[in-house]
Order: sequence, then structure tokens, then C-alpha cells
Amino acid sequence: MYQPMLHLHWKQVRLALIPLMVASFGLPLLVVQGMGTVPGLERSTLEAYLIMSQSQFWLPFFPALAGVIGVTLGLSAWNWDHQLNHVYALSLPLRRTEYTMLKMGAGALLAVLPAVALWVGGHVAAASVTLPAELHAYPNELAFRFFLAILLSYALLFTMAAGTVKTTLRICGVLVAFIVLGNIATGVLGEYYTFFARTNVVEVAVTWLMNAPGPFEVFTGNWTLIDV
Amino acid sequence: MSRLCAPLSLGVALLCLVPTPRLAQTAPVSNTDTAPVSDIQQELLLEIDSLLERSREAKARLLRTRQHHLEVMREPNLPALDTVHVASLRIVTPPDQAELAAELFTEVMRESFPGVERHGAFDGVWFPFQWNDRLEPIVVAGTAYPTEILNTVSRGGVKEHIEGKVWTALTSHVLGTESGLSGWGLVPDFQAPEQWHPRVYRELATMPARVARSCLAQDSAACWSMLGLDEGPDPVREWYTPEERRALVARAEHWVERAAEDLFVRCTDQGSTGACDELIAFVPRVYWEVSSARARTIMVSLALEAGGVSAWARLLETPSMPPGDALRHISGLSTEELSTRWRDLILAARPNVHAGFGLTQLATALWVLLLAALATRSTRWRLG
Repeated sequence: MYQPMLHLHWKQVRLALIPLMVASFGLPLLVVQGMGTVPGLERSTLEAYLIMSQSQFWLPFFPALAGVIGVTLGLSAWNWDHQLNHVYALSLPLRRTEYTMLKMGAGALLAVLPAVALWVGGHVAAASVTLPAELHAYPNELAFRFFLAILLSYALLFTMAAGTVKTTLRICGVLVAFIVLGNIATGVLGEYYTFFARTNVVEVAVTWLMNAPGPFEVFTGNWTLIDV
Repeated sequence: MSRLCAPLSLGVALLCLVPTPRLAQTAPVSNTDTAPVSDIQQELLLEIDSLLERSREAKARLLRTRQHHLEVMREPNLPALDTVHVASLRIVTPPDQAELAAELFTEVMRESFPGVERHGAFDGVWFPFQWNDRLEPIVVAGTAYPTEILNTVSRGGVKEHIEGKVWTALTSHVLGTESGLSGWGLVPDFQAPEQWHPRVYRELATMPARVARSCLAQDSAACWSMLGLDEGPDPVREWYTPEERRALVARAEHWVERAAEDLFVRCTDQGSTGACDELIAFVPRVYWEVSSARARTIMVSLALEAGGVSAWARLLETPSMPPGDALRHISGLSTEELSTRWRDLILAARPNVHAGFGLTQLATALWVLLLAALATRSTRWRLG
């Protein structure tokens, strides 16, 4: 049963996924583009300085690309079911749990493709520049982090898309309300309770989400391809 | 325009800071009532209105704060303070803790700073002391004024705190006098935290200078030279290769191009090393200095540590020594030993670029499993 699920998902997402795989392959190459030389000068020993300063520009694109790929995979996973009102799924001799897990597994396997593309691109990029002794390339770690980030954003969107539109809207509504009302409530309660005067609950929540063991730490960690 | 001229520094500051020429053109027009107010003016005026309101609130807050301070000053039950002398140190403390303060300061000075107790470095310094002096901010319900509470700390913790204060006082004194170290460019606290070590490693690894690479390649003499110690007459030539000097000039275009355009062209386009060297003279030292203030402060910290308890006394004895001599004098170590220690310290602190990634992997896997479990519980197939 897994194979048809994988095939179906691939058919659904391939038009979007292939360009994203190309982007995943190309992004590490963009990081090292033009490195090792200074305009007007021959190849110089400034590589470490240039490499570190130039590569900083491209770093935010890695988590952003991972997020986009995850969202694409997550939304496309349920697209077909939603369009056909789940008739196909209901016709299968499977429980809902099994069906969901097979579907999720198919998407997770597809998430490997852009990660592999980035891994290959990372190795090609690292091989294409002669790094000074002080710097090292980390294509394996970067590719694995990329895969985890895709997987997380995919799982998030997959879960949201698995429910009804009403449920998704409720969750989003609760999140927005928490951010807006949480700030206001913290300000008001801070006048009366010491705890709230010292602690902004929204800030605490965001900090927790963005740092380990919060879910989004994988996005805010170190994304450098080349570092000391 | 009357709004613009309101006696409000905040609003005026905003207008001065807005760099749009459009505003400069439209501002006088609003005086005449002949032209319609543009959108940008409207926006700015609205913004100024909101700032006026905020300024009024800030003024009211300030007034309340002043009143509060006056009330506190008039409070008849304020605790009395006493001044205790421990050699040259003056300690301000509640009378019931005077004996304890003297005891603790005496212990700290004897253990960590022998020989400097009577130094003039403490002449202008007051040390406030109160047992349990770790303050934590709290807010009292119903008042807008933040206040602080005292938390219990151990005797060792208090002594550590005192040591830090004495260290800061001595550092300020050294940097404030015409000493060799004060002109060396140091961070105004000689207690270099460990977090600086990986940062300095990163600085070294990315510094476009031959001397930095040599230092990283375990050449301790290069490390010494890179820190600007026992500097020769032409440190730039010592630190940079001709190619690096050319690149330095190219990066410092802002400083050198106006100074001598002809030389700049000869340096960058024709590759004349002589022209580059002439141009570097126009560039401020901070621009081509290889080591950072952090790196140098780590060296001072290291020398003081190596010198033991009498290191401060030796440093204060000879304030006018050049930095290299001062470091050798206070540490009691040779150049080679000192630079090797510094180099080893920095090399050992090479940052672990992907530190904590294991925890990230675990956390992500758990979150993915949780989300998958939630997905299986969704309501799509539920009837009704």
C-alpha cells in the first residue's frame, strides 16, 4: 500500500518539488560563488575573511527553503483527498490511522530528495573552493539539518491539513489571539501580579519554541556550510 | 506648523532625523495654507501627535518618580550607614555589618591582592557592602516603581563579589593612568570571560593577515607579534604580506582614495607595494590592527593569573612599562611562555560549530512523532 501512496504523492508534488530540488542543489553553490579572489587582484590569501563574510548573506535562505519545501509537501499530501472528498481513502481496506501514517511516510521519504540534493550541492560547493586551513566545510551536518527542518515543517502542515478547515482556522485563531491578547493581558496583569510584571508570556512562549527542546530550534540553529 | 514648533524635544528630534528631501520641501508649504497637506506630512503629523501623547505620559511618569524619590529621602526610618576603612579601601555599610565588612574585605585583600591594600588606586573609590547583596528586581503590586529584594548568598559568594569589585577598581585605575597598558587598547575589565575565547579564535581564523594564520599554525612568536607586543617600527609589513596590504588598501578605499588618488591607482591597479605602504599610513590603526581588544585583554588576564597573588602589586608598581614588559613583569614568565599559553588557550577554544545538534535531532524527531500522532486523530472522517 505504501508504494501507491508514494506514487500518488510524487505525482501531486513533482512539478513543485523538482524546482525546489534544483534550488536545494544550487544554494550551496551560491554560497561559495566568487570566493577566494578579490576584484582586481589575483587569488589571494584573503579567503577566510571573504568566505566568512560572503557566506553570511546566504544563510537565511537555507531554513527558508527547507520551510517552503516542507509546506509544499505537507499541503500536497492531502490535496488529492480533499479534491475527491476522501472517497478513495474510504474505499481502501485501511483504518484511518494506517492510512495517515502511510501518507505521512510517503511525504517523509520525498523530503529526502531535496536533502540529498543539498548534500550533493554542499559537497560540490566545498570541493569547488580551496578552503584555508582555518576553515572547514560542513555539508553533512547542513544537509541533515536541512532534512530535519523540512520534516518538521512538513509534519506541521501535514497535521494541519489532515484536519478540517474549521479545525485549522481554530488553531490559527488561537495562535493569533494568544500573541495579541497575551501581550495585552501581560501588560494589564503586570499591574497587579509580580509574575506578569517580570514575565511576558508571549515572549517566553516564543523563546521556548525557538530554542531546544522547542520544535523550531532546528530553524534557528547554525546553518553555516563553511565555518571555523 | 504650530504643532511642529511645540515645546517637545521628541517631536522635534523626529523631524530633524527624517532625511527625506520631500519633507524638507513640503514643510514650509504647510505654513502658508495655500497647498494641500501631502500624505507624508499627514502621516508625520499623526506620528507627532502620538509622540506628544507619549511625551506627556513620560513627563508624568518622571514627575511621579521624582516625588517618590523625595518621599524616600524624607523617610525618617532610613537605615544609617557607616564607613569602614580597610587599609586604603573605604567601605560603606550598615553599622551592624561594619565588623563583617572589614573582616571580609581584609580576607579578600590578603588572599587575592596582597601588597596593594594601601595603593592610591582606591583613593576615589567607595565600596558599598551589605550581606546578602544579591539584588533581584521585583514589582510591588499597585505601584509603578520597580524595586529590589535581597537574596541569600554564601560567604564565598560575597567574597567573590568583593574580589570582582576590587578587580574592577584596579582595572579602572590602570586604564585611567598614563600606563603602558592603558594605551594598549583593552576592554575596561581585565576579567576576560571564557566566552571570549572562541570569539577570539574566530577572529583569528578569519583575519586576513599572515601573522594571524601563523599564530593559528602554532607559531607563538607570531601570536605575540600579532597582539602588538614588542612591536617593531613597521608592524604592517610584519603582519601582512604585500598582497594582503594591497587588499587592505582596497578595503580602506574610503580613507585613502581622497588622500592620494594617484597612489591609490598605483597600489590597486598597478600593484605597487610601495604605494600601498604609503597609503596605509593614512588608514587609522584600528583598521589594520590584527588583534582585538578582547584578544589583548585575555592576555592581560592570563598574565595576572600566571603572576599569582602578587601580580597586581607588580603591575601597580610599574605603571609606565610598555605592554610587553608589563606582561612579563606581572606574570613572571618569559615571552615564549606567555605567548604559548595564550595561543594554547585560544586554540583549545575552537568553537564547536554544530554543538548541541544531537539535542536538536532528538527534539525534532519527538515533535514530528507528536504531530504525526495528532494527524491520525484528525476529524476528517468522523461522521456527524
